[in-house]
Formats: sequence, structure tokens, C-alpha cells
Amino acid sequence: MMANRRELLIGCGAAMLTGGIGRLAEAAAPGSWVLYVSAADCRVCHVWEVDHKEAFARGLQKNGIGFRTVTVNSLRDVREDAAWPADLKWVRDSYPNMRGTPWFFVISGRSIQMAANSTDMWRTKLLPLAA
Amino acid sequence: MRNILRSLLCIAMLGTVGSWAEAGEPNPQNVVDNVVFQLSSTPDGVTACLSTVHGAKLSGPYGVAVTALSAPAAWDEALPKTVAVEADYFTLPLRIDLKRRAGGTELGRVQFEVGACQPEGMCIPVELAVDTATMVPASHGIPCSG
Repeated sequence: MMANRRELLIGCGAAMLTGGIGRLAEAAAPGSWVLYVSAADCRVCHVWEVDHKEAFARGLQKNGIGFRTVTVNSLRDVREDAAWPADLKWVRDSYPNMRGTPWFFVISGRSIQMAANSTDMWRTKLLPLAA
Repeated sequence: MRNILRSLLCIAMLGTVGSWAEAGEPNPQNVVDNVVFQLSSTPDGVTACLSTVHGAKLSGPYGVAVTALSAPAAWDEALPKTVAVEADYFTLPLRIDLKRRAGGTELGRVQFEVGACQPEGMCIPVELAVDTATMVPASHGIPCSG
């Protein structure tokens, strides 16, 4: 009986520990999200926005994936400081050779899981995330 | 047998000479990221004929920016200048004339910049800087029609 109680306590402790670790892991890895970078004078971006943006964002949301947008004034300067929110500048800074638009990034926490810099790449690499 | 070898040697030599001639021939076209810049120097100034290959398009709102990287006073207009259209893309080929100031002989460096939208679905800035001294001279500019 004594042994059984000990086993029960150990079991409960293990269960609590496992649950705690699980919750910790969950907190350390917030849901993934997609960052879309566009430019006011990027016609390819405009076409994509009209044809695909809404459905894509909806599909991502259904799968628990967020969606954010940064729009710079001109594709001449996709790194335009004023257009990038402070909490996203690290993404821009991770790609010093970023050139032109559009860009799509799949982000988890503080790491970039995937990047695509054309609508063709978006179709092959990112669209499945919204399926 | 000796004749055959001699013929083969002759063909090989002709091929080599042909390649040299080709390499030495001035090429007025510069292709950068699927954008074709055909530039020529005329007595009046410089003519640029812009077109594309592989289905690329030139963004109309982005425009074509022309900048004098040196000797801006050599030109009869204020630089930098941007030619833009409201339409999504320029109708190609696109001709841009840059007039030299009357009596001006100063040679300078000019930069052309366009927004090139590639067939794979991205638009990128494309620049080409050239020395007007190295441009192919043409008496009346280059033909620029589709």
C-alpha cells in the first residue's frame, strides 16, 4: 500500500512536470505567422493582393497562423526605415540583400523559417500553409 | 589524310578568328535582369531604347529615372528626371532622349533606373550606369520601334 502511494506521488509529480514543460514549450514557441512585404509601386504585389491575399490570410488563420503586412513607398527602397514597425526591423535586418518586392517570410518566434521573394515562390512554398 | 587534317585545322582557325571578331565588335545592348538598354550617342545627346526579354515588364508608376552621375551641366535639362506613366507597365520599346547643352562637349556618366517586373512574380529596381564616351555613336540615334 505504502509502495502504491509512493508510486502514485511519483506519477502525479511526473504528470505535473510534463504538463509544466509542455506549457513552457508552448510559451517559448508562439504560433507561426507570415509577413508579407509589398511596395506602393509594385504592380505584381497589387495583382497578388487583389487575387490572393484575402483567401491566403483566411487559410492561414484557419490553421492558426497569423498574417502581417509591411508596405514600403517604393520597391526602390524595400528597406525604408519609416515603413518597418520597430518589432519587425529584425526581419529586415536579417536579409541585408533584400531587393525589390514582394517578399514573404514565415516566422516562428524570433526565427525566420522560410522566405520567398516572388509570387511563384509564394505559390510553391507558402500557399500550402493555408490549405 | 594530310589534306583532311589541313582542312580541319583551317576550319578551327576560321572559327577562332570569327570569335575574336565577334568579341571585338561593339555591342550597343546591355541586358540587366531581363531589361535591354540600347544606348547611342548622337550629335544632340543620348538616346536610350529600353525593352525587355523573357516576358519582363517595366513598371509604369516606378518610371524610368535618369541621373547624371557626373557633369550634370552638360545636359540641356535638369537631372535627375523621371519619366513615369499611370498605366501598370510601359509600352515597349520605350525611347528616351537626353539632349546635350548646345555647344557642350563635356562627357559624363549617366545612370538609368527602371522597375523591372519579372515573369516569376517580383519587381526589382534595375540600374545601368554608362559613360557617354563609350556609347556607340549614331548619326540620328537608334531606331526604337516594336
